[in-house]
Amino acid sequence: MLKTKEERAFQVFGNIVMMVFALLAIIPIILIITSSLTDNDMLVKYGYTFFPKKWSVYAFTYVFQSGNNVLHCYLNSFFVTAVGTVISLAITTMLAYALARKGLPGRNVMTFLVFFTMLFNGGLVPTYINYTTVFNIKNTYWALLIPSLLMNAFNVLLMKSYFVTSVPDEILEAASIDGASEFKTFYKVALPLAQPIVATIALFNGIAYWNDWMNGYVYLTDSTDLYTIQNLLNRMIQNIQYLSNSTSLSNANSGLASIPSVSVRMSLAVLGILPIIIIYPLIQNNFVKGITLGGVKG
Amino acid sequence: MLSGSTAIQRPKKRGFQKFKKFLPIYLMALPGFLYLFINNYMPLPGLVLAFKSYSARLGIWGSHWAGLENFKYLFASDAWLITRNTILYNIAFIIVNTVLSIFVAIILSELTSPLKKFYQSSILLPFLISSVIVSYLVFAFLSSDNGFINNTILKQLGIKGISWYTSPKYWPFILIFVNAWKSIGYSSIIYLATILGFDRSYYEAATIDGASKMQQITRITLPMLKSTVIMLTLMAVGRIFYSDFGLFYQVPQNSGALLPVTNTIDTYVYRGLLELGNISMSAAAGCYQSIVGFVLVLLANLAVRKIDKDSALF
Amino acid sequence: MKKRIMAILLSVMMVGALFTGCKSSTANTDSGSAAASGSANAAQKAIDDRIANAKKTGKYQTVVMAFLNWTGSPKDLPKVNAAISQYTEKKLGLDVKLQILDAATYKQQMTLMLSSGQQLDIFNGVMIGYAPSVNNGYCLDLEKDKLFQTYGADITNAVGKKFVDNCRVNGALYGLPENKDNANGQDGFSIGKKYLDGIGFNYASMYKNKGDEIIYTDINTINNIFSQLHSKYPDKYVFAPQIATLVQANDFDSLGGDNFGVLLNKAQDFKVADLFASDTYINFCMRNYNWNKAGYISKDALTNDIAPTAQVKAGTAMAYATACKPGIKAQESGLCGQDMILFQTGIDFSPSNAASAMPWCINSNTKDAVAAMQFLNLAYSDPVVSNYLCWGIEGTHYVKTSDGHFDFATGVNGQNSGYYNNVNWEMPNQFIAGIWTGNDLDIWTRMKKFNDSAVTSKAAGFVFDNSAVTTEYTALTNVYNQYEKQLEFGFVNPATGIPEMDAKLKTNGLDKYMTEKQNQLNKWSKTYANK
Repeated sequence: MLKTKEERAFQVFGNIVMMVFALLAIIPIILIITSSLTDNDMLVKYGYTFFPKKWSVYAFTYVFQSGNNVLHCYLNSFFVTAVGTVISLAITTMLAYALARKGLPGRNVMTFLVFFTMLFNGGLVPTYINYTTVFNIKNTYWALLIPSLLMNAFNVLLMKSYFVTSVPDEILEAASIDGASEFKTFYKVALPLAQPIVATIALFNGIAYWNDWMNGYVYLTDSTDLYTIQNLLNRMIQNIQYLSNSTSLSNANSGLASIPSVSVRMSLAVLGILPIIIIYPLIQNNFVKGITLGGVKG
Repeated sequence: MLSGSTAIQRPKKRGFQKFKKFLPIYLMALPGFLYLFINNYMPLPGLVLAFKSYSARLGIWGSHWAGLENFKYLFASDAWLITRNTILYNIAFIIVNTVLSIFVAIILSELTSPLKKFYQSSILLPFLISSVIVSYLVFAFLSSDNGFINNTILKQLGIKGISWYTSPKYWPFILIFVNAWKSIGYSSIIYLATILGFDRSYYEAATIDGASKMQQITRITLPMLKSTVIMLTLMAVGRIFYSDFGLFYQVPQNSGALLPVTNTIDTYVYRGLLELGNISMSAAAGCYQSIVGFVLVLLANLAVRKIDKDSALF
Repeated sequence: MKKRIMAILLSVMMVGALFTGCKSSTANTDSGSAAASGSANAAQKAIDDRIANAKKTGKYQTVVMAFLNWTGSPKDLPKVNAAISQYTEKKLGLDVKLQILDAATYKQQMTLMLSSGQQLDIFNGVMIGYAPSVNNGYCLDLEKDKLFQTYGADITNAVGKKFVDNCRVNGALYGLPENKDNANGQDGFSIGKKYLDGIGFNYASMYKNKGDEIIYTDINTINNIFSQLHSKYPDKYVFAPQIATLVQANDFDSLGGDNFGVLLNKAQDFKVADLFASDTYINFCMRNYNWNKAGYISKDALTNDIAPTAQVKAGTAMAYATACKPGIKAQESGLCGQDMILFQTGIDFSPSNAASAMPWCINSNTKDAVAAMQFLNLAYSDPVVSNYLCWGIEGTHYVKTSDGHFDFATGVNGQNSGYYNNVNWEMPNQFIAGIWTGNDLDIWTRMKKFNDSAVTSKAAGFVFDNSAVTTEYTALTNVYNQYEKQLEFGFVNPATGIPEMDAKLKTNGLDKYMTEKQNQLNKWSKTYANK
């Protein structure tokens, strides 16, 4: 394909801009990684640096020896993320498709009911009472999957808007006239056209599940077996913070002094994002394919 | 851009037939609504807490009514400051993030470089870092003793170090920058997906007509993004009284000197209620934020409906 | 459309009826007869009834007790629960389930669990705060139907009437103090031994008695040491400040934990004063301002969240302020990873909220307050239970050493132990549990003496209820947050900074807040003081 001069200029400009954006994003991540591998006393003394005077893997050793099964937490995270993303994607897509159907009686009210949940919620205490006394999900896997994450109004409306603008009604009508059932139309006609947004929402759901620690905070109290990695990391960061700043410790404990609090929080951050850095490029292929597939039409 | 509602043009079917036709659609919406009912609507009566003086002994319903007492603290003498901060930051975030996200999305959609994938995944990374860690990163740059800016950059330039955490005037820019840094990767994906969903034939036709790249962007891409922008902005307007706690509390390291430019409704409430542990007062704050957002969204949506019905939320 | 929305909302509201209040089912106290037949009989009868009931149903009833640690539910908790229960089944006819939560979630979990009607009979008020617990209706009135007198008779003996009375809120008892340090040795400083040796400071001769752990001196000595340290070690910071120092270094009583309206000068009268207009505050800020100007304090101190002990350990700082008490030298030396020398320039002082800082409370929604109180009674008075709570199971988690200490069992350490909570200050009575190796065997005798001999605030036992002035409280807290560190770490000249803050506090209702405090204190003092 022949490229015009303007096209070439655009490509150069685009690459430069994106390189700047990418570096802005990556450099701090590198700083987190080098800090997590720096000796704690050096961090306290000289601050975070790309070129530590003294390297140390003690922070990681500490986390892995802290009596928590880090690998088990990773497994929990993967499980919850995979299952949650799939269910969540299915529910979100179907609801969004319904809301996007023109002529559906009650569509506006339904959209409003969805949107309303974005603004108003009963608050943590009533939600907690609901889930623990009516549904009894405390200290179960359900607690990691269901509360607040399974579907969110933002994603539904985002997807609905995509269906409205990019999946023409005529095509759906045509399929329906050809005798396809509603569900088949959805599955065979609408979904393929909506690939980019489906891939996007899948990614958003995946991130939301992976990053979530709140559900574990609220609904897991009896054992550490169900902790996800983010739950464990957040608890450790906070506990260490409390422990090292607590002035009410009456019992001397020399072990306390050995907690490398500054490097540990960096190593915890690394442990939280590392799997994503490794896995994301692998699934990104599918993701990009999903996005570009949708673009082929027309 | 596509044909308007076809259903309206057809003669009305009888109620039952119509219902039967749409039954599968309703069934598809059912799981979603069931979830909203469980997750959002069942706890909703808990809003009543905002008007009660809560006592665990008496339970939510048994607690005594407090009228609007729980809301009073939101209108103390600093109310103007925290409300102003919250709204101004949100407006700045909406504008800056929208412009930058669209900018990035357009570039990404047009790039043919093999590095495209690398760009796309790296700009998403900041979104994955928790606010606490972001606050340490910012501190790594701005600390007086060891910060990069004071110790490396300003030193090289021969400029005296700045005490960042006691100088409020820089913080609006720092916070807007950090917020953009954290969220652009995420929101640009939305726009990218939308752009890639556009009908390519428009662009092909435009190319044949000899339209330049810039013209294609300004004449085709941007106008077609309009409804997505409107929708996202409407949703952001609904949350205009909310603020990201991590950004305004943790990133400035809770530095007192910065409060005049970093105190928002959420941080004010947090500081005030930290020791009190008053459930009713925090419910009141949430209620207040929701109601204001709700009214603003309804008004904005009404305006949008008047101008462009298809872009309205409902 | 509106109508339909309303209809849906209404149906939702009906579901909301699920949230019926967790009505407190009245504890099955046959109070009248209990009082008549004497407390010992009533207590024994309650135990016998439970055992008989357990024989009938084959299951003992359970008491759930919540407290915080640093790592969440310990691995061996089921074992410890079983061991305690085995003991309490015989003693009290009930099982015990410990609900141990980590510090990160404790406050939120307690709020949720206490509000949701789940079983939680006994909880510790740490982090939630005593006054908020009482105000939010979490706590049972322990003397209702003579519950405390009848079933908790040994508790007063264990901790002392003075400290139990200090937990009264307007005369009513909602919580019980644990045996811990209930005073602080004021204005203490912990300074690295190697740095003192470095400047050739002769601290060894300053101890009053041989074997003392604290040197009693005055602030001039400290100033002198600091200036020598600074000239000898110019690349290190002399002093790492922290927020808690204001209270730990000054003999005012903050009446409820906020600094808005305090009792000055050892709190020996009932006159609520504005701390920020007092010499106490000005002198304190001035001292830090001078130290800051002299370059003793890091420019990052305002935003640095690294604990002073960690800074000393890393070698960036040489000294910090702390509250002194028996055992402090070993504690601080352990935290700093080096020998520390402790100085104290103030008195031993016990403010009004010392005993009620983290009280043991019974959930107001408990199904069986008698069982809860009886277990608390045992936890306060029985060394077997106290050892279980503090150290776990003998042989599995700890062993007794030949010199009478407790130590880790073989192959066990702080990281891999299945039960090592490190929160004994929170346990009802650590004084009757074993003493961990590395601590003096007489530490609790000394602690008791320290507690009893400290100057006690005259308002001891007054708990301020700020629910009538929450608007002022939230506004004042926000204003104070703005200035607190800048003034108290010496970054702002007190001569201009304090009046500015005080003026702003006044416009945000400081006077109203203080008046409320004064009124409550007056009312309290008329009825309960010196009783």
